[in-house]
Amino acid sequence: MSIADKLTTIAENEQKVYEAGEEAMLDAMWEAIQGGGARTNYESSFFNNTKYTKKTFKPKYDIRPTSCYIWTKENDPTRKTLIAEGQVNMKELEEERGMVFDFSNAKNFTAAFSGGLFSHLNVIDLKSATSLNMAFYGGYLAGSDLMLKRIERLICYETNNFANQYCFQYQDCLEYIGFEGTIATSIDIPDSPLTTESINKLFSCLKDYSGSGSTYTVTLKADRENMLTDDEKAVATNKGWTLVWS
Amino acid sequence: MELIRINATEGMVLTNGETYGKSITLGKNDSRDNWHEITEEEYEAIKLAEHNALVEQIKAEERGG
Repeated sequence: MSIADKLTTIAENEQKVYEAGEEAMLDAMWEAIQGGGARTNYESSFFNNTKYTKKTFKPKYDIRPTSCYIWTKENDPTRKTLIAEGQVNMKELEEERGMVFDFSNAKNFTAAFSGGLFSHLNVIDLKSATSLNMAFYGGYLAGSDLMLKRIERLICYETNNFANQYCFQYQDCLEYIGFEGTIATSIDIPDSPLTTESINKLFSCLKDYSGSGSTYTVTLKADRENMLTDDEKAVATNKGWTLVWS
Repeated sequence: MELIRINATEGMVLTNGETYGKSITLGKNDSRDNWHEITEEEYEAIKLAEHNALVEQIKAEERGG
């Protein structure tokens, strides 16, 4: 092939060459970030010091954090880029990259998913969670399109404290949370347009306090009230839970 | 079991001291007596204070961490 032909071929494939170079760069970056798959420490610096976007968030190996403390924060400078590139769908990312997120060993979920990187979360196992303070808080993103839309599976345990944590506040677009397990504390989801299916899943997970005399509360967006039948509401109230329509 | 519903008066918010809403469907163990009304202004002030306290707590943890 002559030099002229080579230059023509390169010119014709310029975008592919660029993309291959970019992919190789990201691959090398994540190889280093994840220590060849050995990394287990994904504390706050994991997200705070390196500002990931949809284009650059390309983990190579499973992420099994012992903490996801402040994975996202207020006034994150990547917001504008995220709006331009779009958010990450965790399940699609896992399938695309051949890796999984496993949160079952994570203790601190403070401000974990309040930053807008993810539009959809896949499996969030709260088995070891000791703090859910503002875990899925949407207030940092008010007025933007970077809201959380769906949590496929939220596996809850009696040890989890959802009460007065601003855990789901200001999530204006969150339509579905696939609740599993047991919820034993009051829980507030006052701003989200949860589907009937999601609310019924929530009610089915509420711990039965009917024989204890104790009262706990579930706070939901006011317009959800008319979507539910009395029989559906009674699943919660009969177990000692007061429904609060915010 | 018949559901018991309480509605807040216009411009008011119902609270049991921990939770706030415009209307309530009482749980089996709950009573109307556990709920009272506050003004929307009082409610906004309480929520703002709670929210700011949480944000400050996180900022303090960040500085400490």
